[in-house]
Parts: sequence; structure tokens; C-alpha cells
Amino acid sequence: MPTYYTSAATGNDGDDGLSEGNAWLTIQHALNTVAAGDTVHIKGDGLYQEALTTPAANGTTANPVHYRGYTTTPADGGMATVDGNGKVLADGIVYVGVANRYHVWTNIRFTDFSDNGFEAGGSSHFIIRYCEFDNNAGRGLLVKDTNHILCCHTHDNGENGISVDGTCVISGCLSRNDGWTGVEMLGVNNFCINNTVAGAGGIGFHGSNGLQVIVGNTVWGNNKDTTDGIRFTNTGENLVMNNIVVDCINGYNSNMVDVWGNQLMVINNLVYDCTTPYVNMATTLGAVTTDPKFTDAANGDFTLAADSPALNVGSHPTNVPNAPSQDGDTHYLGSTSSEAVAAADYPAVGDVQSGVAYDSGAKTGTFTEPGVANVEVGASYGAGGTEFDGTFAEPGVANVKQGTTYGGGGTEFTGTMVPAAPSSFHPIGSR
Amino acid sequence: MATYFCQNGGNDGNDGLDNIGVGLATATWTEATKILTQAGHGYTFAAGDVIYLATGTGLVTPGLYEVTASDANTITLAATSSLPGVGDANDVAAGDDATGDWTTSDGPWLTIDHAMNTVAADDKVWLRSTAAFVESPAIDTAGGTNSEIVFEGYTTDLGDKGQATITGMLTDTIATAVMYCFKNIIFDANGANANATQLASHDITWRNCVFKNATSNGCTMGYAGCFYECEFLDNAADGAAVNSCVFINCKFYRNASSGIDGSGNLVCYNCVFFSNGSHAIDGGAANDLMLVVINCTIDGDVKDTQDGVTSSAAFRGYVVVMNTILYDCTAGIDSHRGDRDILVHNLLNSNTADYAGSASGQEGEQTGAPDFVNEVAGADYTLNAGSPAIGAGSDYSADEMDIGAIQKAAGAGGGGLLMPNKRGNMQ
Repeated sequence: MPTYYTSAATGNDGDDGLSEGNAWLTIQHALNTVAAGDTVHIKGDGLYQEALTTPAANGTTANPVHYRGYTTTPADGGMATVDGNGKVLADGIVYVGVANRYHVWTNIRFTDFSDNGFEAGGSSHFIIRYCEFDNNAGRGLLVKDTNHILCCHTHDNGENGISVDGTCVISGCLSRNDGWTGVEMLGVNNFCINNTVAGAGGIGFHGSNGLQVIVGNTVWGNNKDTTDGIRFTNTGENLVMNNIVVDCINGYNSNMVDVWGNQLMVINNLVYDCTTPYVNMATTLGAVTTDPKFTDAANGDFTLAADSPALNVGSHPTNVPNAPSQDGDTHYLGSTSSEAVAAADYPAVGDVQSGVAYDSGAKTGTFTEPGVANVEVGASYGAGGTEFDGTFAEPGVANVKQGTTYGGGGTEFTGTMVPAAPSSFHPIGSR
Repeated sequence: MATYFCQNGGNDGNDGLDNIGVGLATATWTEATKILTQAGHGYTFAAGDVIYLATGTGLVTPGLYEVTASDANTITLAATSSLPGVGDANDVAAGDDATGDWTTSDGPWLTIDHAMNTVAADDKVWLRSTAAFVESPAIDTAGGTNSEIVFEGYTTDLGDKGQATITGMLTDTIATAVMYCFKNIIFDANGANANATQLASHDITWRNCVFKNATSNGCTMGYAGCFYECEFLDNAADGAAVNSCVFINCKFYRNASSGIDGSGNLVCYNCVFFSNGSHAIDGGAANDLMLVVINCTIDGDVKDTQDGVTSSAAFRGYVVVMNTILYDCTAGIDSHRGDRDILVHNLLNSNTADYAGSASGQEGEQTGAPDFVNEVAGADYTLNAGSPAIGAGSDYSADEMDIGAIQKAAGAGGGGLLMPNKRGNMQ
């Protein structure tokens, strides 16, 4: 099970591809060569302007074939780009034939093709993760069934962002400004969790045949560009839970009217600013109908403000270190961890938490030194509250956010972190 | 939108508007000190008690107020209260008043059944856990969407999450969408009732409740139940025998039959099952419906449990089992949709057969021993550091997921079922 390398800048298909120094030039050459269990590291040191065709070998359950982009060091998380050269090339890749592929694509971008970015409409068994599909005239990603699509980003495609058949897990993905549907699910038994669709020209999430589980997703219609936030045109069974739909023509649309009975479970969803919130569909437990207060929807920030009505009303366990607990008020909600406290509230016992908004006014108290000029998610700064007298870059616009580095020449922080008592806030929606 | 109280020692002839019952016919309100004064009023309050003020000279808002202290002649109210549904004394009255008639509640009700006979949509009833409610109350009034009727247990202060016990069987006289929420309540059939809850009504939320000691099933209800952080134990048949329900952070153990015997759609997140006598999760005879099991830990306890997750062969539902530990059962997963079932990132170990029906291992399967901290009697299903389940779950984000119900603490590389999107930064 060798490991191979490609380099768009320095590769040569005449080499053996077994090291970065002897990398191949084209991805197609790799596709033609590798076998089950092999890994190909694809260096993003230039554009791969190729229209890829069916790889020679399938993987197996135990030995999939990995195609993995990188920037500097293999597996560094960098992206390699397969480019359609201004839509001169038709498809980024086309799998011909019906087969169980067992191929894993990671950190690869397919962009600017005249048809689809990734087309495997007859093939199944893919894991596609951390890939980007954008500015293709057709679909961004088209696969058949039994796939796991994780944390992919589609945008500005002419048609659907993601199209699958059935038995797929779609999680952590973002579709932005795709021309048709953000996530199209044609077959039975798809599991769609924690995705975001923004500004889709058609439908946000569409299940067109049978059972779909749609939990913890966010749809933003961008002034009614999107017709239906979540739509079913099937007679199967569906679970719709913890979703947010905003600014669409129809919020939730189904041809089924049997809420909860045996077919459609609709709980803890938010719908706001939709011309018709529910079409042939009603929600029962946990309905929310007020503005979810995205941080900045127009610029793609769908995190929730501190006073969002979506906080703490979902129905999904998040960050459950010791479930099941006997705490009747925590752990039971939310789909993601856009944790927040009310503006002007500061972390209890010196905690600075993910996504928390901290009002920039009236800082007069003590604040334990965050150390190394960083404020990190989940970091505890002690209950004692020593005076903070080091340099600390102001969080800007009154926010302290997850992963942000503060300090290093910042302004002197002289204000007060007023202790508050934020409990576990778990919002509905995908952020 | 009324709030009522029930507790042992109450009286169903009372108005039920607070949990003490106080007469203050000649009290005086002093705004600056938030004190009601009535010489020799004769009541003793503990901090956190609440009283209901119905009328009074200058009273702004009738309702519940929190008592912080009292003596023989005075009752001090909290300027601001953190108790749920309790007003701030800052808003009691606009100024000092002369002696006047401050009417209060005459105390709590005795029985939950009386409360259920009285409540209307949007009402709330607090159940104090001073002693068990020995009765079999019946739901006979429905709430509504966004106006559910809540029954919530407490021990000392409102909202303290203490559990009240009902020894008997909860029943109903209607079979409609009742829109109730039961919170912090132990439903104890006490070995003398068929079920701890026996309901035909539906659309009910249960939070931090216990269903136990039934001679048949712990919980039965109509469809549309959401169970959060509930326990089902020591029932002579199933822990829960339900149709189309969601279970989150729940625990099922020592039930003689199945932990859950479901029909219709059934969803289990982050639940723990151990030593149930039949199946841990029985999807039942639900043709074409769905059974979703995510981040659960199922311990058959030396094959006490037959199947960890099972669906009917004759009425095949679609099954999703993900990030779940299936351990020490006769069969781990028994499903019948072949490749149309999603069985990914599970750990199967010490089962007589890991799979039955058309089920087979798919993506991300682990087969090593789960290495719990202490599995004896379900004591602690936390994963030891070397467990193969750690970081082996289907990762919904860049953070690693564990398999099973007990995740590493957030910030330690693990997380919950759904974590924030962190796109474009794999590894």
C-alpha cells in the first residue's frame, strides 16, 4: 500500500511518484495507477487543470483509496485545486459505471468547470470531506448513495450544491449561493446534520423520495431567493428537528400533513421572515417564530447573537461529557456550540467561552491573565481574579471569539470582566 | 397563564397559588426595605420560599414574590429574584402604604389529580418533593402549541431540579395532543401498577423524569414524546413502550424486556442501555419507518440483552446506527435493509454475533474492547484513555468524536454529537 505524491508545479508523470521529489505531475496519472489501500498526496502548489476520468481501481471497506490535498507538508490540511480553466473543461471528475468505489477525497477543490465539479451519479461508497466545489456551471458535487460528505463547501455553482441519492450522511457542509438546491437528497434514508445553506436559488434542503433525517441545519434565503427552506416531495418518513429557516418564501414545505403520527416528526424548529412558514406541515413541540439574530447573515456569519431566541431551545445533546445526567436544565439542547452569554455579561469564574460577545463598555473589574496574550476557548482564568495588567488587544467590535489571538502589541486592557453565570447554551440551527 | 403548587400537607380546597398559605389582612408595605409588616403574623419562612400577593395597597403586579427572611412581625421580600416565574419586590408597590389588606394565597393543593382537573393551557404546577404523591392522577385537559402545561418537581426552591415522586400510575381521560411537559418527576409504579405512566394522549415532553418499578412497562404513551435525561429501570416489561418518540441523554437498565420497544419513528441520541432482558432498542414492526441511534452505549451485561439494536425482519424500517458501542449482547445490530441502512463508526465487541439480518460492518467500524472505566452494573461508561472508541466516531467537524454515549470532556479532543463547523481545516 504505497503512498504517492503529485505536484502541479514540479511533478513528472515519468517519475515513480513515491516521494515529493519524484512526484507525478497529474492527478489523472495517479488515478490510473494506484490500487486499493494506496494514498495519493496532492500538493496544492499550482492548478491541476484536468478533466479527471474514472480511476482504475476501487478501494475496499478495509482498504479505501485516499486522494488528499495539502499545501506544504502532506496532510497539513491545505487545499489542492482541480481547475476547469474558465469553464473550458467539462467536469472536474467523472466516474463512469456503477460501482462501489471506496474512495476518500480530502481537501480538494473542484472549480470553474462547464458542467459538474465532481460527478459520480452512478457510483457509491465515497467519503468526501473538507472539499470545495465552486463556480461550476452544473452541480458542485453529484454522487449516488452510501456516502459520507463531511464539512464540504459548495458555492456559486449553477445548479445544486450537493446532490446525493440515498443512505448518505451529510454533515458540517456549507452551500452558499448555489443556483438550485443547496442539498438535494433523491433517495431514501439520508442523514443531514449541522449544515448551512445560504442564498440558494431553489430549495435549501430537499428530500424527494422517502426517509430523511434533517437535524440542526440552518437555511438563510437571502431575501426570498430560496423558495423552500426544507422541503419534502415524498411520502416517506422524516425527522425535522432543531433547524433554523429564515427569509425564504416557504419555511418548511411537505406534502404530508400527518405531523408526528407515524410519518413526520417536527420539533424544536425556528422559522422567521418566511412568506409562508409551514406548508402542509406544522410544528408542535418547541416551535420558535422570532428572529434568530444571526451575527451577520449578509456576510455569511450565521452564529447566533447573545440574545438569540434559538439559544437553549433545541433538542439535541451537545457537549455532553457525562450523559445522562440528572440536570434537568442543561445538556439537552442545541445542535452546535455557538455558546453565548448576554452582551455585557462576562464569563463566570474567569472563563472566556466560544462565541461569547463581550460588551466593550464599562470594563472596570479584574481579569485573570490569559497568558501568552491569548484568549482561548474554554480556557479557565481562575476565580480569584488577579489584576490583568499585561497587554491585551481589544477584542474589536466587542467580541471575543473562538480561536482568535489577542495581544502582541494590542492596547492595554484596563477594563473589568464582570462575573456572570453563563450556563450551557446550546442553540438550534447549524452554528 | 397561572402558576399553582402541590405538596404533601396541602389541601385541594386551597387556591393553590403558593406553597405556604399566608394571611396578611393588616400588613404595611415599606418600599425602601421591601418589608411587609404585620405584627404577630405567625408565619415562619425559609429563604427561597415564595408567597402570592393578590391584592394590596399600591400593589403593582399580583403574583409570586420571594421571601428572603422573616420574623414574628415582618416578611422581607427579595428586591430581585432569580427564581423562575417569581417577581421582583422592586415592582411590588410604588411607595409605602398605610396598613391595608394584603391578600395572599391560602396554600398549596394536596393532589396532582386536583391540579390536573384545574389547569388550563399555559399553566404551570410546581410539585414539592416533601413526600411522595401517592395517587394515580389523570390528564384531562390539553395545553396548546406554545402554551404547554408544565408540571415540575422541586425540593426547596423553585427551579432547584429536585425530583418529586408520584407513587401510582399517571393516566389520562383524553387521547389528544395534550402538549404537557413533565419535569423532575419520578413516576414510581411501586410494583403495584401495570405502568408508571399509561397514556393514550400524545405530544408530551419529559425532562429529568424516572419511570420505574412497573409490573409491565415503565412508560407508555401515545406518539410524539420527547424524553430528555430520563431513566427507565426495574420494570417487569419494557422501559418505554412507545410510538414515534425521541430519547436524548436517557438511561435504560434492568428492565426485564427491552429498554425501548418502539414503533413508528424512533430516535435515540446519547443514551445508555445496560442489562435489559430482551433488546436494548427494539425498532418494532414499523415498515419503512426509521430507527436512528447515535452516540449510544449499549452493554448487554453478559448477554442479558439479546440484540443491541434490532428492527423487524417482516416490517423493515430503515436503520441508522452511528457512533454507538454495542457490547456484550447476543447480537449487536439486527437490521434488514442491507446497504440502505447506515451503520457507520460503531464499536462492536463481545457480542455472540456482531450483526444479524442483512447488517454488516460499514465505514469506521471498531472491534476492540471498549475499555470502560467501570462497566459493573453500569457504573461508569466513561472511556479509559486507551479505548479504541476514543476519536473513532464519525467526525461531524474537525474535532474528533468518540464512539459511545460518554464523550471526553469538551476541550480535551472530544465533544458532543454536533460540534461547530470548522471547514477547510482537516487533520
